[in-house]
Amino acid sequence: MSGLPVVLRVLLFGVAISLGLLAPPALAQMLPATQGDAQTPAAPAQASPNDIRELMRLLADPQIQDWLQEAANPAEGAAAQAARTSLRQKIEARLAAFGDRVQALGLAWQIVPRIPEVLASQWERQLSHAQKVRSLTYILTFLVIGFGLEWLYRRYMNLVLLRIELAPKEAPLQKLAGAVSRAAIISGGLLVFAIGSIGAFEMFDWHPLVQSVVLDFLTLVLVVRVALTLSLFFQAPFAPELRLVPYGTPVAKHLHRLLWVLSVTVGLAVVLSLVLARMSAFQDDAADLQAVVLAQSVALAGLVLLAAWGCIWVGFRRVPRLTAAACDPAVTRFWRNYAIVWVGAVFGCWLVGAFALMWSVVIVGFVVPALKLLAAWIDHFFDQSTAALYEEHKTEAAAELAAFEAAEAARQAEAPEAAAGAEDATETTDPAPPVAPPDMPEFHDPYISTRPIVKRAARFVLLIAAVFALASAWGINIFALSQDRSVAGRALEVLVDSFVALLFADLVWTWAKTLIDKRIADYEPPVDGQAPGPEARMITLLPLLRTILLVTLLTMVSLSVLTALGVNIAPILAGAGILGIAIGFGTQSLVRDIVAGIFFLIDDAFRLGEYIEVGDLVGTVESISIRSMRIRHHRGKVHTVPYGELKSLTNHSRDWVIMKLEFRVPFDTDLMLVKKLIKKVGAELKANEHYGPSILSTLKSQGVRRMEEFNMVVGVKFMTKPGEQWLVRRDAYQKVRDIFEANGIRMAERNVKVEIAGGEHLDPEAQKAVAGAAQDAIEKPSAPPKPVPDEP
Amino acid sequence: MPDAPPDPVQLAGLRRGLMIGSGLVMFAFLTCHLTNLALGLHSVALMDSWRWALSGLWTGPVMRVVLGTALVLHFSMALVTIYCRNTLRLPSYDMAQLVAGVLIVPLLAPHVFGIMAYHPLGLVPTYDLVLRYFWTLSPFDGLRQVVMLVVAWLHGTIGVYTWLRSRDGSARSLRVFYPFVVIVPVLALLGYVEAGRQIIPVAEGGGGYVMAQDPNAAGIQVAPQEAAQIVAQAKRNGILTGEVALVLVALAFAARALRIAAQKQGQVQVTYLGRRKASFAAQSGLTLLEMARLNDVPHANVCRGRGRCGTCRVRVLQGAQQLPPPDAREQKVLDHWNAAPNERLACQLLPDHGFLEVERVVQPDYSDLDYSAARTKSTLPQGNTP
Repeated sequence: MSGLPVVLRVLLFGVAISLGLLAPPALAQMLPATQGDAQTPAAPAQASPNDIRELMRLLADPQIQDWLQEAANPAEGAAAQAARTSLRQKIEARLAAFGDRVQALGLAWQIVPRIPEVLASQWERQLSHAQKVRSLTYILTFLVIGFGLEWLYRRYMNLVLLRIELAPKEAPLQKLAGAVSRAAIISGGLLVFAIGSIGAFEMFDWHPLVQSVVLDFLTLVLVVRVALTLSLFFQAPFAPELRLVPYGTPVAKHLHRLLWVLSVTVGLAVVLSLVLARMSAFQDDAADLQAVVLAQSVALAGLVLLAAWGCIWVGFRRVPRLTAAACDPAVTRFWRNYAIVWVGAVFGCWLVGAFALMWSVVIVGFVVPALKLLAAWIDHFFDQSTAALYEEHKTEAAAELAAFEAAEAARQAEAPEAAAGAEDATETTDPAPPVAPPDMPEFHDPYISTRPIVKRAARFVLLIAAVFALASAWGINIFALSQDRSVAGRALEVLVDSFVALLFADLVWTWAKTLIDKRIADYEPPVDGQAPGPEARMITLLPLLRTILLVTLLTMVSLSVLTALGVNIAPILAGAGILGIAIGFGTQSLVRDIVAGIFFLIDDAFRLGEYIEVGDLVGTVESISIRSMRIRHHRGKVHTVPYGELKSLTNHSRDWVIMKLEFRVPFDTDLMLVKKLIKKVGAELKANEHYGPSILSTLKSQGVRRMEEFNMVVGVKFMTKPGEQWLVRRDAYQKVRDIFEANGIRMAERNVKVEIAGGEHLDPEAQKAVAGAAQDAIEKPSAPPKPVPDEP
Repeated sequence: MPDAPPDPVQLAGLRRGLMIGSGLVMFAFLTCHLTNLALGLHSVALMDSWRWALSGLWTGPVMRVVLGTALVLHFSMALVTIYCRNTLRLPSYDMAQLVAGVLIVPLLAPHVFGIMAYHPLGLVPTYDLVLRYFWTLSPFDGLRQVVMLVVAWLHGTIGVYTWLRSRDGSARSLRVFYPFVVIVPVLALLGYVEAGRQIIPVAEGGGGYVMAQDPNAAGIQVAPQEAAQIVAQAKRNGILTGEVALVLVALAFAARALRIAAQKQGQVQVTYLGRRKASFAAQSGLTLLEMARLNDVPHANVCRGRGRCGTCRVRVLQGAQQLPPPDAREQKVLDHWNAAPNERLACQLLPDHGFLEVERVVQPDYSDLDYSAARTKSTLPQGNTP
């Protein structure tokens, strides 16, 4: 209240000084006027040269100049003055306030026994007997209206509410939906009550004192009912299906009752302590009432303290007995004592008048167990969800198994009949081989990555709310902090800013880390000899991403902390930018490699362990780094290829490989027999236990592919998974050769028939010589192109 | 009930019939009386001009006797009901009804005796006079009157509501009854307040309502000493009646406590099968419905254990041999619902030991309540009206 006049006075003073610079006589006139204590001196009629000289001398004085400057800037001067109030003075003020409070408390203590008397006399003074009773009639009337309307509403909603409460709920989300709709219905009733009673309240003409008191009580009723509705929402003591907390009906009922007692006590105490205050507003001798008001509120606060302690004591005693779950007595004792000390500390702070400190104790003391409870509650929620999904999964599996068993039984029953009906058939009549039961996929918890994020987010919200509550308790507007230049304000601002930045970063980091770690953990490295799955690509990218994210977050947090501290980060940013450009130019190819690598990875062009061909190089991808990859040739050579160098890339390890083989057989071969034999070999290959499953399409004859001078070329082909073709080819060659030999099919050999016209008379020597001479003729045609020896 | 002497079943049936009948009579009177009060919203003159119809008829020679009999009957039946209560952990409606019922007589007696004292004093109990007394002369009595109004209405409506909704096809009648329950007392209270507004200024010396032809203009017709005696007598009677009523209620509670203490204690293991399975152990001496309620097992019960509605039926799957056969009243309700032979009313079953395995016939959310299964005599449309 006194702040404004002081500022005004200083302002006027400043204006006067500045005016005085121009018109010195005015100075003398206005100064006393503003200060209002000295008598007005007679203004000199004219400034003498002596005075002017004196003024000039004064103006030249640096001390005077400083003073003038300060005075010319009055607001700043006042602020500086305020800031200069020493710590000692502040402490003194605090101690003085504390002393006053103690004195007031002492006085109040003496008054306590007389409170009812004073209250009664005050009431008598304010209201006549008839007025009081009439007011009670009014109160009863509007309460009847409020409760009557609510009852009507509840009657019409009753069946809906009952169905919601009793419908069985499996998943917690269903529970939550049910609890929310139930809370909505109950709140609707509350709203009807509020509208009905407040509307009726407005109808009557109240004595102003009674009006304010009754309004207080009405607010109390509404607040208590809202608190109880919240308790109903979470604990649902009368609707176990909707309970969101992990304990049974007895505990829920007990806690609900305790909450009822506690909220009614606290609310009543607050309202009752307000009654006297309201009265003193209608009183002339309000100052005399102050001590009584204090005494009354101390007595009420004492009662509240006792009630709170009682509730804590009873709650911690009863709840472990009511639950089936075992409670560690030491833990229970610890939290009980904690709660008792906490409530006691709050009361103590209130008693000595340290209200900001009291709110801090309330908030901090609340946040600690609230964080634990919140985490436990979210865990419970997710546990329930997972359990529900697991149940669903199990029922599905059971249903599928039952269906399979039924089908199996039907098949078994059919088989003998079929056998009896097809006695003379050439097919084998042995019962169909047993089919393996269907493979149920393993159960995966879908919330495994959501859970920590939700927990962090909830913690985040709670902490932020606590910070804001603390700030408002200390009367600090967080958004206006930047205007506050005091040390404490600055420190708090830095703390709040850093804390919020850290919390945000923590939230983002937890989210990203959980996702990335989960994907990495889910990755199953390929079994030897198998091509790696599509996840292999992500596994190379994810750790990189994680590191980048961590570095980015750390940088951002430290930058925001620096900003909060008041460090100018623009040069840092600019420096980083310039450095970035410089490095960018210098490492153009490096950047190109990295970027190209990321795109190759995104394109899924190759994966770890794949057999690829890059330009002239072939080999298995052995490692993938940020900049380059390493390819091992099947003969052991290791090639390092930067991604930037890759123009095109051939991958031999994708999906399937077709291999074509050729056999040369003489012209007189029975092709039908060949076809049959190849088919048989194909069946044998397919039946192989090692590589059989890898054969996608087994060996089959493609008939005569072409005719050559001395033989026919029979083509065969098969299709396998990549990497398996070599083994299959080896066996195919061997088996085909063996089976041809066994069936009298020769492989065509090169044989030259040298026919010498009329050469019957030649002796063997000469025949040999002639045949030798024909050698050249045979050699001439070059051999057909051989298949590339490409086995790794 | 256990120790009502010769034919307990018929007696209990008679008791309920009397209870409902006398209650309805008083409820009708209460409704008329409150309607008369509600006329105060218009004017005190209107209240007085309708007084002969809405209140006067009930104080005529015949109706006065009927009303008094109904009150005495209802009160004594209520004492028996208290005595027969197996448990005092009642559902909220029953609890409210019980508390309101206990409070009614002490609250009501001063009013009744007060009004009765007007006649010997040579006064006519016009609303003008009575309201002036309540609003200005003795506001505390006025307040008690208002409390009494709320309490009596609460008690009465709970009774009528329970009676109404345990009848078949009560959907339509309840739809009318609900607003009626709220509107009547609200209007009556507002009428009372408005009449007070018209009367108070006169008493405080200002302008306001003054009766045109006041039959009480002549004032009290007897000697002042005698008048004081009459008034004191009326007050004494009122207080005495209230005290006697409270003592009787206390005696009923004490007798009940003795009865419970004399009962032999046993343990019953109850299992509910079907949807919403539950299993619990309970003390004997309670009905199955009360056991379920005490153990937080949801159970359909429209009439809250009065054996009227038949919604608490259960199929007894095991342990039927140790149960007494259904009495005539229970059998009547069971027949009404065409119940199977193993079906019983949970509110009438008093298992005293051993195991009991039951299954609900009607789900607690009434989702499968089907009035067409009953042999209903009602021509009203049928629906779910729990």
